Amino acid sequence: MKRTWVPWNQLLTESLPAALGVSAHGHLFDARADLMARRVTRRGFLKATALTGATVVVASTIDSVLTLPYSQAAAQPGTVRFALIADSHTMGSKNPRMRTRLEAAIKEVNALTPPPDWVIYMGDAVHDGSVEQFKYFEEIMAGLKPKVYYIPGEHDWYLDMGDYYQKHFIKTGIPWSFDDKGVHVVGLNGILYPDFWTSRKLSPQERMDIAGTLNHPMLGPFTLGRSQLDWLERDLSTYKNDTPLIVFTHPPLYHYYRPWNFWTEDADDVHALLKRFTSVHVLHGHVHQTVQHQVGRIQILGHVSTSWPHPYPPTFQELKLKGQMPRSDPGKLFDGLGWANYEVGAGIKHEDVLWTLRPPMA
Amino acid sequence: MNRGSAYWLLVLLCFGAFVTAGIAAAPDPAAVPQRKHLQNPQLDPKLVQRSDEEIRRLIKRGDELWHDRNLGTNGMACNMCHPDATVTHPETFPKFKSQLGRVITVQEMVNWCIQVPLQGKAFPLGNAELTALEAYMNDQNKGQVMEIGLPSP
Repeated sequence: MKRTWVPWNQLLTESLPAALGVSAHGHLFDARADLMARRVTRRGFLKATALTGATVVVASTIDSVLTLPYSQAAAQPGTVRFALIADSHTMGSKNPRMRTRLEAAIKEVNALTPPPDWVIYMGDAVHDGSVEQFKYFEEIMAGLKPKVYYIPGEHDWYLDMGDYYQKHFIKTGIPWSFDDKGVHVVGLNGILYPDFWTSRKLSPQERMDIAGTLNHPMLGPFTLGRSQLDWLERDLSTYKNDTPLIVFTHPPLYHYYRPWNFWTEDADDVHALLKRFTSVHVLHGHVHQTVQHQVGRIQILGHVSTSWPHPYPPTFQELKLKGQMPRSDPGKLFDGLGWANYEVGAGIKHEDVLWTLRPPMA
Repeated sequence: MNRGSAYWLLVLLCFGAFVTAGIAAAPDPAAVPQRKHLQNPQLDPKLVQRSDEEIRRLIKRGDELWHDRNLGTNGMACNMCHPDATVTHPETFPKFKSQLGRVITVQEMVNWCIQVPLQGKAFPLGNAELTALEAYMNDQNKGQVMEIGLPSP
């Protein structure tokens, strides 16, 4: 007998009469969803112990969230708290939905108590790399209270080869690193394509259009490159094995799915540098989905965007990856989107704030 | 072994090789697509060629439209949410879609995507653009099992 799994909340909405329009909480064309908006939430707490690197993922219900909201958990001394926002793909005023979604993330991050020490922006701030789009994005991000660190996405880079994004957002150059309360934090430039434009004599706009098409056949694999690997080796050389390590890079730091560049070609070389650390977490964007991979003791976590969700490619199952999020309804303004919240100290606590099951307040 | 025996042994070996080759060349029943309505495969070559040219042209046009960020008004393209036409599931249509509250065809679903996520204007059903988009989507999803009505968000 063929069986189809239907989530209870879907059953709930589909059993109700259609009520099309924009709801008070920002749902597009399906006001029925309001009725389920805050009945459930997805709080995936990831606890990785520094000693063993063992990971326990607990999918809790609304009850446990209410008794232990992440934002009100007692802050441990020596604990770094940061929020992660990724892949906003703002396109200027022609697409106000992208703005609404990014503003919703900013509003929720600003409301965290206690506030995060800083925010990491994971790249693909804009879609077409133009100054106009960057200024529009800058205007929205001005509303975010904590300090923001930036890494680039390919959409931020290939119109002017990262010039504007580096000057106005990254500011320090990329790769970068810093220490915060005993945690070592590294930001990499993960979006370097092999040169496909010079020999073809492409204009900057043509280069951007191709680089910004996820599955364009002209694109080679993202590669960190020798100089960045050498930099990383030097950067990590003075740190002891038990230093908690957080690494940010835009695409997955492993071979997930090549046709969409869910991929870092020289990932194995980075793993070789990271493997001696007892607590190391690599956090990435680009995939617009929650996804979890482990290479030895290295935990690699992908995050949702504030723009649109990507499908899970066929290799998700082949590689036995974890962390698949529920399917989203494109008729809802916030479905399949969100941001993430981290607390790093002796261990690491991680929360995906997934708006599919808990849309933000408009 | 005398000359006569050697001759017959050679004949036997050749026959054995022929039979073995024949078995190896026989089509694997599992590899042949099982169609409910088997038809005579013989067709007019001109028709075969025309069919092939027409559908290839349409799939190519559909590919262009799938990546076209001017299909709507907000800079979005089908390919952003559905790279390689993944999770479009044309093999499950017609089916009930909650966005429209009724059973719809795949062209109606594409139109909904153009109107809502892309904020564009719907095409008349069956027009060249919609049919091209459908052709590209089906081409990318070749091999999927027909599962009419399979629910999705």
